[in-house]
Amino acid sequence: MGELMTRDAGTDEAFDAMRLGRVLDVVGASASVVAPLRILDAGCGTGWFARAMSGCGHLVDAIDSSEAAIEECRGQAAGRDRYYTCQLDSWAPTYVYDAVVALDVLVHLMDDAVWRDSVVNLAALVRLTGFLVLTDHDADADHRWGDDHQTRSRQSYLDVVLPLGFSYLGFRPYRFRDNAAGLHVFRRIA
Amino acid sequence: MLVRELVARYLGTGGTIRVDADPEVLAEPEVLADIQSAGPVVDLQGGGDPVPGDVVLISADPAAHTLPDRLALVVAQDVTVMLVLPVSAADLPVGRLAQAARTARLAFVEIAPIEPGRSPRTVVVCRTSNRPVPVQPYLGDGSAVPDEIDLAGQGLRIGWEWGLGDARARAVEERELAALTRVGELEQELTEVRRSLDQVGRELEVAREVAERAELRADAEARRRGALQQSSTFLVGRAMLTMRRHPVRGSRQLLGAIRRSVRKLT
Repeated sequence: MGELMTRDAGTDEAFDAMRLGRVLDVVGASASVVAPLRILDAGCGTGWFARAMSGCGHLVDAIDSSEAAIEECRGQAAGRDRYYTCQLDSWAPTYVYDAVVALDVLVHLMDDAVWRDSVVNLAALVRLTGFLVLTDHDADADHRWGDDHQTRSRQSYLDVVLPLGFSYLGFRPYRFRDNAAGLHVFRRIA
Repeated sequence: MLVRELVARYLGTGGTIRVDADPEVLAEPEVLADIQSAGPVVDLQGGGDPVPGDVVLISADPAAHTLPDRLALVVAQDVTVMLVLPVSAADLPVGRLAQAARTARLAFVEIAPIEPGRSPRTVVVCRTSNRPVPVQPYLGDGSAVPDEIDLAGQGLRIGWEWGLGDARARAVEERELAALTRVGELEQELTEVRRSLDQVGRELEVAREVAERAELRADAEARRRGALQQSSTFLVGRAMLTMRRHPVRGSRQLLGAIRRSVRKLT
């Protein structure tokens, strides 16, 4: 008899799958074995999304500040996913990405300066015509929800990202139960 | 290429070399001394605003968050900016540099690896300009591009080279990665085959030893049987058995056995 799935585990799995679908809607469903998309999963946590994108045929770099999380991710690597311990504001590879995705991680950066440096750095890693996908609420004002959770307004993102050569493609809500979060999607145009 | 040579290439008549060296990533002192032979050198932040014909030399860590702010110090048009970076061309953080330069409205001109010194260095040459600027050939001598070129055509060409070249380069990288992965798989298979061969070799050795022992046992058994068949007891016993069915033949065999036994004793 198979292992019974708890309600929380099942919900998490569904939520992750939903997020994956939302991101694939943005970056596209095409993948080539000989020329996959290069994707950065910024703040990868336990690596579910990186492994899933790798499974879709993409070449995924995933970073997280937690050494333990990265070690766990490396143990479960699917083959085309690579993991590095690094802060979001200091990752500086020699190449650029077709898509940089930060799922539910920027809201945990409580220091505004660190948040801004992180967004600017992640934006720098997007190639011309590439996507920057950042999770947050689509709110009119910043809001602090607790000691480790702060959402920023839509305008905060626009003020930081647009001057860096991006256009704003809009907000794509998760539409998962009553979750108000979603994806702010930018595309580098210059 | 030397930094001095690059500076001399871009320094206009009467131009000034304006230096903004990051103390943390200080350009080698001899480099600063060397460029003084190309023209007058002043500090960027203390020597007035740059003017067309000047060369601004900025030594910086490409990963530093301060790079965009330092590039923004140069606002005058048609000033050549040289970023002296303490990394080899292979290690340049492309995204960060491109975003910092674009934010400062700097147009790319050329890139030049600096001849080996105490550490690898690369110079990225750019120019403050609101319009396209002619790019220089990689490792060129600066004379290959005419003054009047079709900048719009160059822009088209850059787009094509970027689009096709990047796609091809990525495909080549993936092919090499796939080849490396395949080599890894083949090496693993080879290791497993070698391990199997070693195991078979060990089993073969054991089988050979078993066969040798069996052969030795067979030889010993044959010798024992031969000795038994030549013994007086065996010959007498066989003669007695023969006598039951063939009394005359058995008697002769018995007599022969007795004689052979007597000869042995005498």
